[in-house]
Amino acid sequence: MGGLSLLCLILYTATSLVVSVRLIARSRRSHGVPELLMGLTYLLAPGLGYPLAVLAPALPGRELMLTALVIGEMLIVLGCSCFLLFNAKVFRPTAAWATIAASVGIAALVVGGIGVVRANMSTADFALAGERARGAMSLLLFTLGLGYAWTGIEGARYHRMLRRRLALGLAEPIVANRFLLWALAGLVSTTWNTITCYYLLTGANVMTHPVPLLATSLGGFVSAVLQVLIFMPPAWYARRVGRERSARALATA
Amino acid sequence: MAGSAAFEAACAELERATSLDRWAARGTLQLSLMDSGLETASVTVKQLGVVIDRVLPRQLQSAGVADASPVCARLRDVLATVDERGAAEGAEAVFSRMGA
Repeated sequence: MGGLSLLCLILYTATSLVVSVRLIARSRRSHGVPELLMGLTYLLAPGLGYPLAVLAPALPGRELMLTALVIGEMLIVLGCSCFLLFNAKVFRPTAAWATIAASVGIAALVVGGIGVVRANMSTADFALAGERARGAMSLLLFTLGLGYAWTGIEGARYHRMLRRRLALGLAEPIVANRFLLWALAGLVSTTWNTITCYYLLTGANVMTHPVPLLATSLGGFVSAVLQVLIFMPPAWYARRVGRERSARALATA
Repeated sequence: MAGSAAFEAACAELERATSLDRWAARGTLQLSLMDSGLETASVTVKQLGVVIDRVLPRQLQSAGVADASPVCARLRDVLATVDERGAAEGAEAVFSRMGA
């Protein structure tokens, strides 16, 4: 199970890094803030932060381990904060509640990140540190799960709207499909976050228990596949989406 | 919530061109936008033009406007004068760019 988990983590990290580089490069050309925020999200959290935080306990020497953990947690908090800002800016640009929700989420992420680092700095015993970090980790995962649920709901809402626009020739099939994939990605991430959060709160070791391990592994794998289809869809996939839409339009006519 | 420049201009003209009051005019346009999967805050001139051609006539009939054609023509004329500079881009534009 550990091998499968590591493989999925590597796949998710590699995909996130590729997607992040593409998005940041695109933001330099378009001067678009949304693609910069999403690029930074993928680069800082799954691209660099998660692997650093996961590998930190395996590093030789407490100093090195703590340094890697602090940097990893900082990157995760920064990356996830960019993700919450993306939600507010892209889906609810004029809604005050969205800005407030993103700000509260960022505050919760910072508190959770500090809690994890403090728990690990308080003792050299890795198991005890894990116990002490349980509450902070749960807060991090819960906040992130809410963020993913938010983005999933927005994706589903936009997919529904774009299907109506398609009937009037006001949208591209591939963009409508992208919102559907985005909603699925939100659902997948909410699921694995919720499962891991639940097991953390029940006192299980989420690094060894098969259920949260399987959930994060599958979640990472499916997320990586969805990232590819959303941000760099292969030509065959784009053609297929276009063909399906044309066939459906003909059937409706 | 305030609508986009295109939406506000079309609402004002719909109120002038028909016997509908302000809220009935806004409601009729809002229903047309909902049927089309669009939102009042972000609808553009181009999108509203399509809605006026293909969805609004039906809504106007439901609202008791006997002849929708001259009303729609007036709305199209007004839309041609709307300045959209500075309008916030919608999520559709962002997602279109991000996967290109």
